[in-house]
Amino acid sequence: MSRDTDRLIEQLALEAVPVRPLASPMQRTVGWLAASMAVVAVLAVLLGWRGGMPADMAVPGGGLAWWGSLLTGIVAAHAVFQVSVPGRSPGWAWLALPPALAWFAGMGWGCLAEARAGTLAFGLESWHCALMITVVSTPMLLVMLLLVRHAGVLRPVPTAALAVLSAAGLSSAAVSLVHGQESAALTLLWHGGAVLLLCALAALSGRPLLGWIGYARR
Amino acid sequence: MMGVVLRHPACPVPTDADAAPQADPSPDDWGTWMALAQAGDRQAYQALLQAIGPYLRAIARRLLGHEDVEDAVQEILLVVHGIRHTYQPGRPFKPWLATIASRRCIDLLRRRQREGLRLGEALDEEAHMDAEPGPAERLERAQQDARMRAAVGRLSPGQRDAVRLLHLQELSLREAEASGGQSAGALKVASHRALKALRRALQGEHDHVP
Repeated sequence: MSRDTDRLIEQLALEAVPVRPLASPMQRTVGWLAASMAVVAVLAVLLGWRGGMPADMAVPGGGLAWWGSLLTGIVAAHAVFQVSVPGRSPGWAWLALPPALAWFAGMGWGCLAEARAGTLAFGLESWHCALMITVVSTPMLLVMLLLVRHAGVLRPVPTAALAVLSAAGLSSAAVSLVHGQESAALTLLWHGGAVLLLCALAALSGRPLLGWIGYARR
Repeated sequence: MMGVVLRHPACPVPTDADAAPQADPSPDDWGTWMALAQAGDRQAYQALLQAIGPYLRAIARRLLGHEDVEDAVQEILLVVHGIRHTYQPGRPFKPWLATIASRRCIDLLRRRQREGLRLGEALDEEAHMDAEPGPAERLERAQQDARMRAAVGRLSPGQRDAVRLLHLQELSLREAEASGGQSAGALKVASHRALKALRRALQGEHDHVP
């Protein structure tokens, strides 16, 4: 043990004020979901919730896509609270894959059904969905990153990507409650496109973002 | 190393510990000590940080080789201190610590690689600068020199000393500490801030030295 290290240990011990240990990932997931569901519910009502389940459920694959997006939001949140803690398996990140696949499969299935019926058409008319998903999920993402800011020294990239997947999944489900029935092609283009883009941005910026927002020694 | 391990009254100790040379605390005790440290028990915390030293050193040696092992251990200890609230009492302590230590070593490897690349670029630039410069290049160099001189002038005496000892005379932290009036920690901070200020000056910014 070098003299410097001994001195550092003495210094750190002197600074050891009491800290509150993190709650378990399950408790944190429940807390996060309760808070974000409340935000999403308020936003849905403010933006004009039509009541009942989303109109998109009527299109082929719509139900699978909606439940998939909601489940992705929930499961990805739990994965974030697992992978961001030292000593927990990074394999938790894969937990979000099945619901995310179901979500995209639902949208893809709808597109195939429309292609078969000859009604497949991509267009710009639903671009506001992508905007709304981004606007709703960005503050949720920032709050979640604050909750896992210690992950900057551990696994910043999967943490940020899963955090954005969770926020985007929940906000996509919320946006579906607000807008009317849309074609599967438009949902895939604007919902799926927004989510993929946000995940890619989070994966690229995860390291500097968590370094900026929280604890990270470089 | 184990000679300095403190025994905390609340920590489980072997019953024959007084008769035998002090035994290594088991990693099971480490979790208990960390839980006490989270509650503000400084003695348990110091004992824990001292006890985990050899384990951290072994990880650092495995991932980084024999170079900078002690620096790596110190960096890991700083991270452990910074995120000690993420340890959940009752869970195994060793995987928690091993994750932090290995991630920190990987970050240090990355930093080493980046610094190696930067050194390569600097050498390329130096080779390029040996060629006869044109008027525009001479003007730019003169401006750069002036900015650098001004930035050096704005450094505090402590920062100037840190740069001189660590970067110009290339002393180790320990040698620099012995030859100057600053501790290793203060030298590290001063050198970091000074280099940041000089880098900004070279890039043409005119911020004040922090």
